[in-house]
Amino acid sequence: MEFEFGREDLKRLQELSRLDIPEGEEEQTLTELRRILAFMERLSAVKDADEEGSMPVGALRADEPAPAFDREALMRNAKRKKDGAYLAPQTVE
Amino acid sequence: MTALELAGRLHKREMRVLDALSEAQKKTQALNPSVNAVTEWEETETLRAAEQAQKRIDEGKPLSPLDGVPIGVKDLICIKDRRTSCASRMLADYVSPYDATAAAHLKAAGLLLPARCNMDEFAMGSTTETSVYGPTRNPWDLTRSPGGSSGGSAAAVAAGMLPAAIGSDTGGSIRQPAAYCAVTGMKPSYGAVSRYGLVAYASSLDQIGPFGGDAADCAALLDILAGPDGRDATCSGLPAPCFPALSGDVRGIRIGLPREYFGEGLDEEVRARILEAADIFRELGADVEECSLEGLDLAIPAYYVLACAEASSNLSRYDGLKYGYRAEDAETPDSLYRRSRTEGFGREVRRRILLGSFVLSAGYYDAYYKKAKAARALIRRGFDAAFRTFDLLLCPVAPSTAPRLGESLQDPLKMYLSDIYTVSVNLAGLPGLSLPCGLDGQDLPVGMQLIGPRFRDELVLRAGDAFQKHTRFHLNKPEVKRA
Repeated sequence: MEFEFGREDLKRLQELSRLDIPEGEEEQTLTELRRILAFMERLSAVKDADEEGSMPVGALRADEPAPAFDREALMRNAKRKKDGAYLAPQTVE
Repeated sequence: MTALELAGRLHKREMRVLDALSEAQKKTQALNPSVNAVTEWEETETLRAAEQAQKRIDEGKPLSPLDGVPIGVKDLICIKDRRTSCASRMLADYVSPYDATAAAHLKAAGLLLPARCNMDEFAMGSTTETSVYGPTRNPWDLTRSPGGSSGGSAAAVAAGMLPAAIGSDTGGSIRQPAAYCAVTGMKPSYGAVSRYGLVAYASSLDQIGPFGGDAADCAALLDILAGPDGRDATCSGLPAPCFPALSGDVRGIRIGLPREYFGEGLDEEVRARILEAADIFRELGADVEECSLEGLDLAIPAYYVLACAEASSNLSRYDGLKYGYRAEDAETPDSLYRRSRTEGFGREVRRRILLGSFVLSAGYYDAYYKKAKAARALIRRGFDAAFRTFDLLLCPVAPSTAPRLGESLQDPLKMYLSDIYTVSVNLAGLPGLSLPCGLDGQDLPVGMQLIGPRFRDELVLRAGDAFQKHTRFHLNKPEVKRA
């Protein structure tokens, strides 16, 4: 049985994920996602557990101020920057 | 030569560090055109580190049992002022401004880090074929995959380019390539090794670990890698060092063979090699018995739901602005994000982000993500129950030996299913050791997996080391054909 996952769902996922399926790959992506999601359906047999399936967190470090990263070193990997700030496309008209 | 054997020669001054480094480089230059395991060889800083290591050795003050040994590092562990690309177009020119804690530990122990090792893009794959640098080929058969995602690390060690390497394991990415390449690889307990500076894929599952010539190499490396770190709240280190626990003795250790792991879908020759290994453990004095382990049928769907969900969240940081690939001439922030991510990520990464966004989205969260978390709890309880009777579990690493290159790319679900015997260990946060236990009829390596309770990494390594002290499977080496 194939999962009812259609073009509109794929479009919505692309919005949520902030990425597009390159031209010509849409049909195959749909087929693959349908198969994978249909396989994941077997999880429906699992009863909801009271117990959380998360991994435990260890001891937290002391909440003490410490030197932060060097700003210039951190920004070295940005493609476009100006006056110590990242350059982004215009957000307000 | 294993990493510890090489270190022994260096520390006894039978060989100089610079000569060991030069030999590794020559071997890499000769074999890498065939195997494509190493994507970058750094010379300047490594030569300086080698000279310093030699000085310490000459003064009789090595920093660790592996001081001066050159190793490979998977291309997703940050090394200061070095490229860390995750084998992705997205980070093709990213230069890390800091050391990962694991890298800092390796440097502090005197190891040399000349080689960046190939991998699946962002560690998403089981064959090292989704790399932007092209596939790594299995040194045993160049038409086959070395496994993945740490395939470059495994192949570099198998081909003898380097005596050891570091990888990461989110769902089997150390253990499965170790099995396909006949090297020894360890996925430590969740929380043993800091992930600070490991580029995140699925944070509740990711763990850094070693590849080496044998379990002793892995123990020595894990002792260097492990330790608490205030920069990774999940990391508490290990309660005891591993190397001193290698007694060579498994008498009285209770080993369970989970029958579910030997069922349908397992290649007959793989099954035979593992059962032969079980007999060897019996001969060595271990109590080996069949047992049951609940939850195997849920492992793959639970793993891929959780891993993709976490990946979609972790990879949202790639926006084209702060670092990484930036699309040209985008006119709005949204088009900058979308185009940078579409052009920067490869197909498998995009697929997992989409899947992750789906299972976390309104209307589907309860049916997928919440159920996967419940399945994870169930799988963890299954292990807890097994470890009430057994000290360790012995099972296959993968259902078959190494697949041909190209086979898995055509069918992603088939590739996901091949992770069946490894993902549960990540879901439960346990230590898992993959070690060679023979060849199949095509002379391809078969690997077996020893699983222990959380934070009993030393026991897992002790059993693996005892097995290798009495067998020669780990000494099998491929004859690599040159391109």
